[in-house]
Amino acid sequence: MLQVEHLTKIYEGGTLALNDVSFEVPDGQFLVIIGLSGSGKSTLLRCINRLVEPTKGRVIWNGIDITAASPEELRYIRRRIGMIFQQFNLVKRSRVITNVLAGRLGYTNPAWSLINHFSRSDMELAWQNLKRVGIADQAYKRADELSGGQQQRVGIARALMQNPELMLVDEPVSALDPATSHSIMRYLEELNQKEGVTMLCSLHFLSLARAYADRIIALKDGMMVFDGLPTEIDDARFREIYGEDAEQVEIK
Amino acid sequence: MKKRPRPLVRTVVYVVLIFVGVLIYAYGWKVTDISLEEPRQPQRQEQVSRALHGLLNPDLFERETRRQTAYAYFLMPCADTPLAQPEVVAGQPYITLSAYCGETRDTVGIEGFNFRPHSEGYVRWRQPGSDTARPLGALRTDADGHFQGKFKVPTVDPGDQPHIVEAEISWPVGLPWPSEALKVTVERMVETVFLALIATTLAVPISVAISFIAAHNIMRPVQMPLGGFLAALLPLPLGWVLGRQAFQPVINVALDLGHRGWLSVPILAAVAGGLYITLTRPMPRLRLTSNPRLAGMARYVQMIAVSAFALFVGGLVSGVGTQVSLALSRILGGILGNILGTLAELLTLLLPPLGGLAGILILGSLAGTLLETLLSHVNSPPVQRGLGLVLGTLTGGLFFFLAYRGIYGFYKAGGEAPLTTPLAVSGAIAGGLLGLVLGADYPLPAGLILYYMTRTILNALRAVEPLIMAIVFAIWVGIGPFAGVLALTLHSIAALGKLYSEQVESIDPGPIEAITATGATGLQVIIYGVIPQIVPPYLAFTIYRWDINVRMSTVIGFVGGGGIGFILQQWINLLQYRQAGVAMLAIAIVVATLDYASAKLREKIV
Repeated sequence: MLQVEHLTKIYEGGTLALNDVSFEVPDGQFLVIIGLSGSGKSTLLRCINRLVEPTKGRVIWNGIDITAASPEELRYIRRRIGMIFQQFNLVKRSRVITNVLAGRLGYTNPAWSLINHFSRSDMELAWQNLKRVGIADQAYKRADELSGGQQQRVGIARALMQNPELMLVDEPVSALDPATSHSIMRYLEELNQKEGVTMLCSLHFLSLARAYADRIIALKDGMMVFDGLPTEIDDARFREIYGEDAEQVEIK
Repeated sequence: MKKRPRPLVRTVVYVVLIFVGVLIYAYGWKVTDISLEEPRQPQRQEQVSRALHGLLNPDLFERETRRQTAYAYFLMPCADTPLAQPEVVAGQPYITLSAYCGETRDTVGIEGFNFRPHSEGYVRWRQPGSDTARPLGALRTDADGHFQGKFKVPTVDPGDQPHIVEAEISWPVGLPWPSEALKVTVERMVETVFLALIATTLAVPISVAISFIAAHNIMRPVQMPLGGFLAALLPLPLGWVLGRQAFQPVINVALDLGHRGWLSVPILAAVAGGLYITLTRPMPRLRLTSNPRLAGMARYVQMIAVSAFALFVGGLVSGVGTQVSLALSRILGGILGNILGTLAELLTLLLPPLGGLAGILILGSLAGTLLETLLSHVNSPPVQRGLGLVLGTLTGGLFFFLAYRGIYGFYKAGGEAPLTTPLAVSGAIAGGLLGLVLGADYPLPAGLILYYMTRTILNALRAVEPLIMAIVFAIWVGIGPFAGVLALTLHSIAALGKLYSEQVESIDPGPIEAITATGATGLQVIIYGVIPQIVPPYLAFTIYRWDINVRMSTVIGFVGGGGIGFILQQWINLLQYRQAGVAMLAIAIVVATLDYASAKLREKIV
């Protein structure tokens, strides 16, 4: 169970990115966070694994207070939480296989990783995950030689290397075309349903959210303005979340 | 109505600007003394033409020369008895004169027979008993091996011995061999290229380390409480002295053992083994004890032991290295022995200061910990301010004192520095005020301070041309390639440091975020996230810098830095333009080749 309590983040310079956000996520839920650009979705996800330090509030996961953890403890927590990024965040010049293996760094002995040595079981796991997302044949290509959809799949494979219990997914398909978007979302759905990985996914398109989410949270200007089932968002609530001028866009 | 005056105003402004521009340019033209008067002087044209002739006709090859000589005696002034002339042998070259005696400035006819046809040579006048001959004119033989001409008797002391008129022709024979100039040029060019290579190689590791310190994005988050910083800084002089004294015996023992050669290997193994066992078994248990004082002490004992061990190993390596280098000095012309020996010597020199550094770090860390324990008992804003005041006063006074003494001693060794007390006191006051105002828990942006200091030093060094640095180094280490290497290395460190650090500042933070999110340690993030992003640009810059260094090393010899520049300057000064042409040709070829190669390499990397 993930508990977010009164999370607030004020950046240097005064920007209020998150304003007293609180919610609970039971294990195995596929939670989608929606909202306009700049509403705080990315900040919220990053506060959970403390890539961004919250100004106020707590994040408690399975009884562990992430916000109060020491640097050592934080590493042990982070390696159980996978993260996927909007811009894929792969090391462009490194090969696909190296990028995927980097996901295992939280579990590797630091001395071995210094000389780029990974154990055989790590290598096998990497190949397994590459096959799982369907890009095993691209393993030795440079990451920037791949298309957007392929790169995001590398990102997923990297996150899978951690055997995560929780995944933070920051707008995974915003940079992709509609068909590829669906295939990526289906990987996440499979992980969530088959292996019970808790998903916290921020999305731009409400139609995608409706298709994949068990539950939706909406942010506006850093505050939570909706928390409920996808079916509960009607036109009125939609305009509340996105503003008066917004129009629904279908992703088919 | 507002728009109307605008175009007119703009035109006027443009005209004024153009006029000012022309004035500035005209002034510059005058100041740089551009004129066509000098180049049109006939002597200048003749000199240039002579120089170009030589440069464009480089003395690359030479052939053996064969000569033919014939001579005749000439008496000054004329005497009654005719002079005996060398015997004419059939088939051998000989000369006849129209007169065999005379006075200064008499015109004498000369004819030569049986010489090699179509050859060139000189007619010379040789005074009795003299080694040197005075040229009288050039000669050329025709198809029959015959020549004729006239010369004037030179102004010489007549004496009573006969003078000698000799005619000599020479012609090249055999295969062309590389000339002296070519051989010297090749040798020096090799020296030049290696000069650049070694300078670049030495500069790279230092620049890589410096580049992280000079990177704004890496240094900004590095912060430290002011109190801790000052407390660690205060015992610096004491730490230095204690470190050197305490570790000196360790170093001496190690050096001595190292010099014994083979004995050092088992001793090293024993000491290493013992230390390893101590560090991995009882020590961690000690450090985790609930008694904080014991744990703290254990930590310091460990630090001291590790430092002593490192210095011990250093001494052993250095001693062994010297022995090995001596043994290798007979193999391969001693090149392996040379590099090993110099490095071992360098290590020996560095060990005592490293001991001092270890002392500073250990004592500083101790002081910092003491401060923390003190603060854990009593911590409140007035205490922080008070601590800031005390520490600031002490540190400020101490460092102003040391700095002043150091600078004064550098400029004027010995003697009492007059302003010591007032400077130390003002340092103490400044430090104290700073400490009081900021308080001991002020987060000092130590990273940024280091960043600005490093950047300033790098900028200053980059501003000084290596040629100028080479002049200073030549005074210190003597004229020759070593001075050139030092100058180029120093400048390369400054230039590469800046280029590298700009790369570090422009890395994509995304992958770094992603790898941190997997639970990797800081070092793993650097190796998997930072390094892959910066290696290709780093390599490209290194190759670029090597290219520049090769160009610089061709001319660094002009100021005593060794390489081809040295000999080129000599040849030009001696007006030996043909030889200078060889050097210039070599430089052009090497630089053009390396330029092309480096461009191709860089293309492949990036």
